Amino acid sequence: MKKLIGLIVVAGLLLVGCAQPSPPPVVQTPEPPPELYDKTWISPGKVEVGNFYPGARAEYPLTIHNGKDEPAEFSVTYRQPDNVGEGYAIAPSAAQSWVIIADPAPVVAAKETRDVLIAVVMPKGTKAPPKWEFWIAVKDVTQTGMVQTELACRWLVEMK
Amino acid sequence: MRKTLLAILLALALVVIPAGNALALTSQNVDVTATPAFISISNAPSTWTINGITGSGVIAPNTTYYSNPGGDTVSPTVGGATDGECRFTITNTSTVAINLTVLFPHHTGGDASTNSDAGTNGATSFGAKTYFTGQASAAWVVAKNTGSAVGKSALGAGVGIKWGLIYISQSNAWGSGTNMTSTVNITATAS
Repeated sequence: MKKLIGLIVVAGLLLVGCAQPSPPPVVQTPEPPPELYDKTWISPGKVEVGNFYPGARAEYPLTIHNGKDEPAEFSVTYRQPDNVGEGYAIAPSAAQSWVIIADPAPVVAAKETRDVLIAVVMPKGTKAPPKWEFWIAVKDVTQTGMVQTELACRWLVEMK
Repeated sequence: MRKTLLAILLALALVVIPAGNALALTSQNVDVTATPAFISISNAPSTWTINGITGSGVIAPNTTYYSNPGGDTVSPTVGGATDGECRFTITNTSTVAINLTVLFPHHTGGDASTNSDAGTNGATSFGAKTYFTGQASAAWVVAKNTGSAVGKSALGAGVGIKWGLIYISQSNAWGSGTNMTSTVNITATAS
């Protein structure tokens, strides 16, 4: 009887252990320097994903700060990169459908800082180069003029 | 009794050793890390009327225009553009060095002239390039509809640089008589 109880305890602990999800990514949120308070910025600059594979999911929040004195609407979009880092290939065209942007058109109040969760979910059975790159572009759509600026976060993905 | 004790000890060991870590070697964990940086730029002015600096603002076919304060059809110095030949100033207000990439999309409306993506013009297509101060003409980068190369790489944090645009209008005459538009996009990414 005691042996049975012991075995049940062991089996239970093993099951609990197996059911534990992978720990979420460690999100470092350093304080922006004070001089950026009245500037529009995004963070981070790069997200590096390692050990990625078909069927896997990776996510990271993109932080957007509106440095203007009035609310601004931003577009948050997937971008095929215009150029890539050394050793990286442009993301496969299908990758656009793998990327989930929690809020693609946030309206951010003056001086507000907002997180938008970005997730990349690669379906099973799909393929990608060993190392590939895509961008998440953030643009203040209230900009006017012929020359407009955009900020982009680089996602650098390395397959398992 | 000994076996029961063994079972309890094993159970305790499993409690002490986090199961997630013990299984990490065989599970397929994805690693996600981020560079803790802030990306921010400013650019001024945001306007450019092609052939509107000293000219009339009317664009003739088959003509090269520059955003050169010294003249709409005056080329920057081919040996190295000077500050005075650049209309725009971009400042890297990021906390890290950045790359700058410029896109000049196809026009919409009117004749809907398309970007040749080659830096040269043709029938119904225009060419476009960017230049940054100090760059000789060989380094002036084609501003494409999509997929431009980096125009200025590793611009240091807190550093400003002057830059300009070149537009070569389509070789054939306009047909519609209606305005067409395009918005140039300059993208900052961490180097």
